Amino acid sequence: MVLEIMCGQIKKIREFFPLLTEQKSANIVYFDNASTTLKPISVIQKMAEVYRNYPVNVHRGAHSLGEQASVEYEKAREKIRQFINAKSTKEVILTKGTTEAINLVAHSFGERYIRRGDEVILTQMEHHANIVPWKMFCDKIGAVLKVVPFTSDGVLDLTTYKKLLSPKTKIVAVIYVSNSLGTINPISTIIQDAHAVGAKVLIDGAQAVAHFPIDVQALDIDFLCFSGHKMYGPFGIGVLYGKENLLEEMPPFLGGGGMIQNVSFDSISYSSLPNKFEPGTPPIASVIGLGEAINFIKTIGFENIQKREEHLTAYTKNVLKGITDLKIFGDSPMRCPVFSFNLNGIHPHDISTFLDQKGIAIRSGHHCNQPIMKYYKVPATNRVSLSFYNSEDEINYLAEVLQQARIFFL
Amino acid sequence: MKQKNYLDLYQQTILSHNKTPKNFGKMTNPCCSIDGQNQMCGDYVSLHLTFDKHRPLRDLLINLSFEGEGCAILIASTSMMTELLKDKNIAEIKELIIEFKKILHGEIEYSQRLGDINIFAGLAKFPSRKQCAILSWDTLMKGINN
Repeated sequence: MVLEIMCGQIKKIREFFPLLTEQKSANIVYFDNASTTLKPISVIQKMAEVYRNYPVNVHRGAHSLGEQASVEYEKAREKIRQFINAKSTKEVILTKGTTEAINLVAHSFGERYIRRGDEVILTQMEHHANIVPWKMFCDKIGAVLKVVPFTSDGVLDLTTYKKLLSPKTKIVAVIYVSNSLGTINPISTIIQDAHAVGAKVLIDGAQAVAHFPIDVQALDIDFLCFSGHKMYGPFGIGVLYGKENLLEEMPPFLGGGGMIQNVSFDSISYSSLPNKFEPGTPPIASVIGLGEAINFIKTIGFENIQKREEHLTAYTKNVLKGITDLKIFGDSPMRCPVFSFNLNGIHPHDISTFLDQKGIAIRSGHHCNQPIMKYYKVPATNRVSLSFYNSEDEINYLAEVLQQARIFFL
Repeated sequence: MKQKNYLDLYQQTILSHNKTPKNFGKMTNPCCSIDGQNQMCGDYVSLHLTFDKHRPLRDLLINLSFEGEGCAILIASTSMMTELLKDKNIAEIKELIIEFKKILHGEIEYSQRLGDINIFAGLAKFPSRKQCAILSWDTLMKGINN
């Protein structure tokens, strides 16, 4: 089923989401999608089905319930493979989320390939999740972090990036879509340039996966990390895609059951991919729920999502620009519907509490982007982030309440 | 009800303290300065304290000022705290900080000694904003205990 999401049909789309339709919450205007997207009923029901009908462990024992759980679990991995067009399910490692996936690469790729004096390139607009693991690793072994700056428009300075690249560069770790600025970074160019000097590239795709398709083979991505809960799926499940040859070479990250072939007190041999990186009992219902979220995205269709969100992005930008004393941070021509702004010097916490009292949920704070806050010389910003299910009426209402807040705090 | 009360709370007292905070600014030769930061959002305060040197125990706080960056709740809470605690001794200050926290957490409904500061009881329903109100009080308590 393919749905054309036109303005008049938005009501139908919203019916997929209990939070938007159930009486006690139906009036909430949810503008915090970059933090987490809402969950459609199909995902909620699928997870309940797991807990109700086959609430058992995977890859263990020989009973048929366990078999059913394992089949559903591996089906979800196959859906994820298709979703990002990986060559093989061996390249799809299930993690707790984007953060764990990046930590896995920093630790494991780092241990195998990065030595004292080598360089790791990040950008100034990374989420802390793509800064802290690298900083911890580099400090431990004496490698050097290099940072690609961005311009006041919130666009990466690729000239400086090219200058930073050298044979010393072992990996470039870049956010695909900025969670504060909405900027879509030109990762195709970034990857080609990195590969030209022999460096690998990790893409933090947490903010991208819900908005447009990602083809890891076409883009030649070495590592892609993302989270289920930012793409209409459950919390506690994320994905690390890695090229098979790299993952094969990398040592395990966490140790435990399920990732070994043989264990003795003298030696251990590890399982093949993807199990080598998946010790312990996984969040089975969440993995299967993520598979269902992918079904949901397919049902709506990325073509529809992109068309709708491009419209909402332009509409929101226009409306926000019409508000006196409102300053938007970042103005990339390539962007997702994520807007950071300040209003007349009013502290973002005060704005967000005011909006909350009027039924609008936004995020205020540094959004795990302290280097971005430092660049713009603000302690925090307000952030409005949309999804295709948001409506023009909601954006108009936001503008009206922001005008009220401006006067209230005068 | 909640909406009206909460926005009223902002409007009546907090906004005026936020706009023109009392005892805001540097202090020449304070006895000590203590910094506090809200890890969640990066807001911060620096408290500057001067105790009466002529008293044997030097436990009377005769001057108190603050600098910092934060939301209306943080600035107002700090401003009102500096007004309340001036000319109090350390034992009284500790008692008042504890009393403030009780008000904030809804453990007591009203404190005679806190006066206007009782309005922060309205934050009991907003756990995420309690951190803003409490930062300076916690910072001061930590400083005194050290």
